[in-house]
Amino acid sequence: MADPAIAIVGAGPAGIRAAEALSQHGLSAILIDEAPKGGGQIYRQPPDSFQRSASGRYGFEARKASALHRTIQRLATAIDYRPSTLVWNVCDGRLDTLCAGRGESVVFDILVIATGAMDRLLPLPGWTLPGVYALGGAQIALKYQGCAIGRRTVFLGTGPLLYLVAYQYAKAGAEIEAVLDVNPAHTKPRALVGLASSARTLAKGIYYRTWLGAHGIAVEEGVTPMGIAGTDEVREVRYRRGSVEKGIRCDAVGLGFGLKAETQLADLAGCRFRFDRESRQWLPERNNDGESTVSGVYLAGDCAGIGGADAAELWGERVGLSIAARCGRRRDARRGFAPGWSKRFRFPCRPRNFPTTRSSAAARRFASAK
Amino acid sequence: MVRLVDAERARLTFSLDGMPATAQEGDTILTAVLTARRYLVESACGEDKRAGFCLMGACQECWVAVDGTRARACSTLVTAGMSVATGGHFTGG
Repeated sequence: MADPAIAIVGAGPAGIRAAEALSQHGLSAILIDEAPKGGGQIYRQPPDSFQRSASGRYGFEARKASALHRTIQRLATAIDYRPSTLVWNVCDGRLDTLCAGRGESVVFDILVIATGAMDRLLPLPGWTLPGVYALGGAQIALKYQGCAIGRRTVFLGTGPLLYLVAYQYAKAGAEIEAVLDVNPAHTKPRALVGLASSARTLAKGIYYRTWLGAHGIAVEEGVTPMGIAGTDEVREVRYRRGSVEKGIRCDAVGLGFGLKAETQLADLAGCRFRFDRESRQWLPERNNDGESTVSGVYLAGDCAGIGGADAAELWGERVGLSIAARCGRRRDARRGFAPGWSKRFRFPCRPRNFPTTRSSAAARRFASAK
Repeated sequence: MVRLVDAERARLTFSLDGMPATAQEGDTILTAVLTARRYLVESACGEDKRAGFCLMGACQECWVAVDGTRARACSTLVTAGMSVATGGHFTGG
């Protein structure tokens, strides 16, 4: 297949780099993204009316965020880029999409799933009260809308995002009542072992944690959350530390226990999953090229296991190169090309047929009703 | 929801449950409503109030009706003259 139809779902670090690598090999992909502007959740871009600088918005990651934004801006006119478009199903080599209330189908030979990650959440009493938000949501409020989730916020949970979001809020001038970490301090370095970027993640975590302490923000580790109290709005976070039960008054809570891979499309595409003990999540399997167990379906970035944004960019590029090699494409000579790639990965493209039996019954019912 | 940065942008007027309301350019419906009051909708599964949760279009907690069509308040920007209804019967699906 010299010119296969390639669809990429998700315009975050992985999806953008995949599209870029393909484009450098003369392959054009349809890049579909739910957001109006590319960047993914981590490098989410605000609407045009916002003025805050990239360094204010993305901190240490500003350079990487801006580079990725420039790439998607350049690609947007060169490829079939479809922002503000939701992919709600994959079935029989076809994606079902929804844009501005209009349904459409996108037929593909090769699919790149780059749907990223979302907050891992555990319910606790009171978590549906107005004022309680996912940690990632609390971060989006600030990055995308210039808002804090409340006047006096408690951040509760664990993982690198807990300290990062608290730090970003404090830097932007928000009032933080406390950061409550369910993990005791000594388990953290061990928990991070196995992450591709563990050393850097750990170093940044320590920096944010130290910064918060130095700025007088209460950080408690090893807490057991009891619940969030209030009627129609958050009034207090209740928790236990040792045998002591405590409460902290607040009007908003940012809640999150790390991230989990967004695997729904991989599931609908029929990819085989395995249970990953480290993350305690069922994850779609992928080989070194990023290809899933379904031929022609690739998984780029965090959608098949949390590695973070840097790893996601690399996964995206790698998947793009694998597909280029599969289609017998060589990289533009002017830009150079690692000699190993084309040799190792040159094999023919074949049309893909998706086993309908493994797609969700509801989706099939919908498709046949159309 | 409290405005922290870029807190003074051009104003827009829209209609919220039949009453005139103000937003800033670039506000999502969720931001515009929650900077004015503490809740967004009545829950689809009861009478409790909800105010969104994930803010990234995944949790389905913020469905409202915009000019008669369903939309997620966290992922829909306010435009001038838009009519937003947050009554429970629009949010249940």
